[in-house]
Amino acid sequence: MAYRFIEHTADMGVEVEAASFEELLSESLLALTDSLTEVGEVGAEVERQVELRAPSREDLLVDWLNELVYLFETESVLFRLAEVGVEEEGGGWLLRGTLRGERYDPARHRIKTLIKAVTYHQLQVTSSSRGWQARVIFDI
Amino acid sequence: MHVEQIDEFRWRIPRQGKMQVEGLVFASAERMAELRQDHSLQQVVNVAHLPGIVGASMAMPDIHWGYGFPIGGVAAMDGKKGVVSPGGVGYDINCGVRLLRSGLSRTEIQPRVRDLLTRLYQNIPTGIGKGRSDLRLSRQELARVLAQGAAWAVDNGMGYEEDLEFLEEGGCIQGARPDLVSDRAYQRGRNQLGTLGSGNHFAEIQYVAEIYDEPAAAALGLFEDQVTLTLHSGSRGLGHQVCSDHIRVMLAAAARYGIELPDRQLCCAPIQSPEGRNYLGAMSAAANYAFANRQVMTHWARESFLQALKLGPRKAGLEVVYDVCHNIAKFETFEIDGRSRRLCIHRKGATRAYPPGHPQTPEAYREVGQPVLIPGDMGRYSYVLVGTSRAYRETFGSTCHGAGRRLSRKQAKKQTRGRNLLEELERDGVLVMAAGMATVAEEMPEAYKDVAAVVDVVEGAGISRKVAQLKPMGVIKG
Repeated sequence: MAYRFIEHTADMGVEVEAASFEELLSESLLALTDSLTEVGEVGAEVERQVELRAPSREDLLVDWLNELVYLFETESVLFRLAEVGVEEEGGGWLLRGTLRGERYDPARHRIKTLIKAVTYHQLQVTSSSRGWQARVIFDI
Repeated sequence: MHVEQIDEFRWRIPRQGKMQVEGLVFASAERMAELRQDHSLQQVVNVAHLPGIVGASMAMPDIHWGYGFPIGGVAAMDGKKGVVSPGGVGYDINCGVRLLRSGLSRTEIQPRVRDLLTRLYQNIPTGIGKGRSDLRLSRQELARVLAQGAAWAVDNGMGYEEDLEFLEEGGCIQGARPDLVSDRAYQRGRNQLGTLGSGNHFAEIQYVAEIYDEPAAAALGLFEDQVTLTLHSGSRGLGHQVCSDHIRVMLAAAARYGIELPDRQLCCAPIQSPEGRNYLGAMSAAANYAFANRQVMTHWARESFLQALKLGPRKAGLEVVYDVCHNIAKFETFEIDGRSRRLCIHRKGATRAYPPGHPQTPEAYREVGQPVLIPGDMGRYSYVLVGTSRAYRETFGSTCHGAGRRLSRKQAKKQTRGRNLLEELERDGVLVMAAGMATVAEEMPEAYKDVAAVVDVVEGAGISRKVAQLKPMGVIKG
């Protein structure tokens, strides 16, 4: 599993690799949190359950990351871990996840970049013999 | 890509393939050489594919690579047969700029800039999320904000009735539908009214450094050395959520209406379809939230001036010069070939620039044209322009919106390593207070192109006229 940030003049993107689609989602969570703050400073005592439905894997990835943006903004929770299950359902995809993180503490969590939204621009989710890859761009 | 030069500042991308109209780009030759290397011209071409686009797919000289639409893009869609696209507005719906003028001169406030900035920083929340605890809104109250825009703030004691005359659309887009804004958007908007946000948003104390057109400056109430204040912010999380919600709907809608998309982020639906109407209703509500946001911050900026300078409201009192939207789609009427046409104008990182005599230009400015506010970076300068009749005829009354980035945020941060940016800026006469140093690094002056080059192109092309240059004295950032 790995991610790396990519250059985009006005905004910021991330490329993620993982062995499975589920791990790709967990790794993307880490990348998003890492762009917000020092991920190593984020604890895991707060738990949230998430259930999302989307017509494609690409849409599911965007919804998943947008859910994290939403939870950070409305509940001030930063996440560092996720157990994710994804299954096919009625021609689309269903995600059930348990997220673990910590409430934002301005004294310890230095904000790096605030993310407005996760975009569909140049969005890619692909799989190959090496596993799963994704590219996603954040609006900041 | 095949691009033809029309004149010194105009470039045409001829129709090819399924383009409905040609592309029209405003740029210097130097800038065009750079543009040929990136993806933004392709984005101009992509927008030209959208059904019902009228005239040309346009780009202002601050064009840069966006998602879907280029930043700096302008597209007019036929009100009946055209489409509306959330990507043509962006996530920060009605991100915009408001300019306030004071009765003070630079020398009067120079010794007090730090106090003034401290007050602004205390009174206007910046950076992450939450707004002031004395402005918490119930859902019902928030629905009123979404319906009424800036007038909601004025009715609640935050501003004056006469402020409203000097805001684009009077600070309220008609036809807003608060009932079509999702619960998630309400949740995000509930505690953020009256907040600046982060990224390129700012509040800046400035002075009028140079006047290019005396009569126009006098009409706008501007004089040399005068202290002004600029606010740059938008609709915050509420607007971001409205955009995300509707992009999702539009992706499915575009397929259903058989619209081919060169880029998914260009997803759209016919203006007259349920999806199109719902988006326009919700987006207008978010735009009204942004107008109210800038109005609330105006009120707190006024209080900050009174508190810090201990002057009577008349001298320190800040009056609204104007307030413009940078990211918006709305209905406007234009005379084309002798026929009046109602068009849905998308401005994505572009500014309305109506000419002298236009009924929507405030009475006081009727002879000079609508003020256009172009922020630069926090170290150099910003500009006040006015709209022209050539812009009205040629660009659906539109012009540029800012400098545009030169460096990515990562490159900017790299270049600031080991430097004390705050000290550097202070040496150059600009005090900065910010919630996060990362933002200051990403937003440092060298990260931006010189806004003067952008403004020279719109003036050279005749789609705006320079009135004044403003220089920063103090800035608050997220």
